[in-house]
Amino acid sequence: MDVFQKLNTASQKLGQAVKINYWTPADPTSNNEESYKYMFRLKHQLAKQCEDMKIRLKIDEDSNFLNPTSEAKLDITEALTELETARNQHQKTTLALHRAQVSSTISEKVVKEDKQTEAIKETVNHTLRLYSQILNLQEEGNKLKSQLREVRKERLTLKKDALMNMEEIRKVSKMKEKKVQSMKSEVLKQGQEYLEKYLNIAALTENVFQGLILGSNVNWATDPHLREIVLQLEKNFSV
Amino acid sequence: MSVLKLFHKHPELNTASILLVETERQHQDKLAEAILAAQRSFNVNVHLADSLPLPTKNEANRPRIDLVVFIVNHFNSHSLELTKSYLQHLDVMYFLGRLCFLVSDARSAKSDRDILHAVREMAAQYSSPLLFTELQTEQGLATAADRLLVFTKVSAGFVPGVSSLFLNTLTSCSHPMESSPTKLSDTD
Repeated sequence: MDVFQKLNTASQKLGQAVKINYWTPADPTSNNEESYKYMFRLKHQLAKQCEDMKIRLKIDEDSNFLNPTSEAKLDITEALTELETARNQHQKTTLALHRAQVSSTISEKVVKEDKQTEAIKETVNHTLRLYSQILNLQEEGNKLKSQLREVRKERLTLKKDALMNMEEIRKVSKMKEKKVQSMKSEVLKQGQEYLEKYLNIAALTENVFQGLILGSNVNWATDPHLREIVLQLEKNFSV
Repeated sequence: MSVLKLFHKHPELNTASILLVETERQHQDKLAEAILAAQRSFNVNVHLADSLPLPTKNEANRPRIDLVVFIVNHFNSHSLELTKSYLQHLDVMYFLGRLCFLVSDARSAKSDRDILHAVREMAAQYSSPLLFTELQTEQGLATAADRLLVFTKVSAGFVPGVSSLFLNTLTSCSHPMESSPTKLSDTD
């Protein structure tokens, strides 16, 4: 019976060990050299290390490893992009999972009326207040921006009008100048002509009167009028 | 040119080895202590170096290195240049998941944004993970040690079904974006 009992215990242990064979989670306590868990873990480790070395050997056999063909390169780039998308997906889902966990724990705590419930409620209210403040400020900001835009539009139209007016003024003043100049020259010329003509007439008539007086042997020195006429020639007419 | 090779030595039973390379030897010792103090189910050998290639006279005594960690100092560009030159002395197999870059105190005011950007570029180029750690505090050291131990477990083959390349696909650094940070003021 002793032998059978021994056999029984040994087979039970073996059965347990086979169950454990699927992988023993490592914990620091079970490093006892004799325990089956340790043995199986070591076995898995060695198998894994052998696999790694096999991979290394395979690389040497595969001549395409270091110089991939162009098709292989395309495959490689495709695989890399797929990898990136898969990784991003994984990270997103992990984030979502964490968020869900956090929110569930928070809701549990709030329901449980713990010491932390007060703090949680305070922070939530504070956050809500801040959000409403943010929305108000954003609205104000939008209003101010639209006002600013209106003012700028008006300024732009005013500037345009001012520019147009300046242009017109310049045109008009140019035209006026031209006219004035032309008129001046015309008028001047005519005036000058007339002046010359009448000066000549005056000089002529004076000379005629002088000749008359001198020729008629009248004593012109006594009569002031006659004297004037004779001496008037000395006055220079500047033409 | 002496190259640190991966598969030239036999692995030891239930033991993993980490190599910490840091040009200025600031955080290596504390990090090594934290790694040794962390809770784990396997033995760990931590080797410290400040440059590669490793001296050849110790070649025989050194075990197989499972994970190489480069601690890059992002306060000046000297360390980054040296690290890039050290990468030439590593066997190709290390780049498939047995290599890790580590940066400490990325939030400090002294850090140069361009150098940090360059470190990220380098990590993305070699498709290796880039860990941001806080090695000034106890808690930070413990966290960094735990993260490194996860990497060592996988690269030493202690986790069946997960190869170092699998973990690398999840943790490798992606290229940082080109755009400069957008200004918050409105453009008029």
